[in-house]
Amino acid sequence: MIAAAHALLESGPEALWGPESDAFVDEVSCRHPAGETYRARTVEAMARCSIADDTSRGQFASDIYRHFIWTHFAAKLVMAATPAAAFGAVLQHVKLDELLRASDAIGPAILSGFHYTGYPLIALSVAMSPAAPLITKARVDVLERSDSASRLNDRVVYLSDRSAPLRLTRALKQGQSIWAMPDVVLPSVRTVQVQFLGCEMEVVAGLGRIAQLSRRPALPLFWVVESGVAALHPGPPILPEESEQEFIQTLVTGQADFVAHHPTHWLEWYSLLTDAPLVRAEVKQGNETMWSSITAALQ
Amino acid sequence: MKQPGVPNAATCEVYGLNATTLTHDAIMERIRAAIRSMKGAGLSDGEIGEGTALWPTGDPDQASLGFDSLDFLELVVRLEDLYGWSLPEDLIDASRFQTVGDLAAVAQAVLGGDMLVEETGVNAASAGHGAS
Repeated sequence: MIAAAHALLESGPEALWGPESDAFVDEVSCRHPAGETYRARTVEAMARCSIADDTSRGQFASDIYRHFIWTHFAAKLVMAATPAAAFGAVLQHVKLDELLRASDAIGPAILSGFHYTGYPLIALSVAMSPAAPLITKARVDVLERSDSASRLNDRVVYLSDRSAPLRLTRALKQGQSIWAMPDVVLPSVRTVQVQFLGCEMEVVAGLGRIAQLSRRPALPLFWVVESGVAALHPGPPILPEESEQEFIQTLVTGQADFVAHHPTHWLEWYSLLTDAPLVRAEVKQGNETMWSSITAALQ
Repeated sequence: MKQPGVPNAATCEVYGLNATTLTHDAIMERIRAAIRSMKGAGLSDGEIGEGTALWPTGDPDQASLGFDSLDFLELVVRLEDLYGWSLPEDLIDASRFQTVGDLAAVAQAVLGGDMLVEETGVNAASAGHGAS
């Protein structure tokens, strides 16, 4: 695995979309302690939503798992090891034109998508673009060790901070967009129950309140990373005049439609399960175990 | 040394405030009014006292408003919108920022241009240490 990591890094950021990346993903995929859990629980969640049939859900889950490993390990490894080069490569591979046009048209907004394939790369590209939103993150991770992180420190808000909602609201009121992904719920955060592809789903409630207090809309975002290219597509703005519940439901419904058409690109299917926090904890623990090994490649 | 709670002209200009003196009691009253507008007019002064915890404490003997971060967001934004107060975000993350009195002390220090932040605390003025 370390050799595969070295091969990926030595080939440069463009290798993220090449065979070196595939080889690294293969190595990490078979060693991740929570890999089997991730796949099995993804199948279970897809069945709850009647996505795909019984015979094809296993293959879907395997594809999602590879996208998960690529996102959490290959992409983050390259971003952490060679941040400047990674940023240059990302700019070549992520198309922001539609987002920037929409952003110009509506002004400061809550840029919001789910955790789709490659989301750290997408967040980096948007953060460094003229849209320059304040980026929300659940926690400090390997990326904070990199130079690119230090360039972005003043644009990152950690959701674990008590002041996070205030920082986000103030940013919007002062003319800066924010980037938030509401499909991952942190412990002790207020949630709201919404409908997602016929299932009940708990999502972060704060975006509705922040929209109302700042009087700024949400701009839903969608993307798929395919053949080394990701184009961000904004959906129709969601206005803050809606109630908090309606605001979040509208946001989630838009994402659900996208997920139904691109089921292998949503990495958080297990969010739909009643024991999602336990599954997430197991996956997170597995991630940390893997990173403790991979870090050797960074050194 | 300037007295806490007595805003100077420069501070008022920075924070967009009228140059009026706000005592600690006056600040508490404004905070109480904002909380009542959120949680109900029936809350007594005692229920929104200096020692009332903002957050759930798990201690049945400790009066608490049971706020979460979104309740607190709403309170701070109301104070901003109503009175022009701008509370420092770093202080909100401080571990000792726990009670209504802590909030009043921070507001008082900000209004008085008298901010003194200790590493783990809110401000020394509220603890009777004064400020420099």
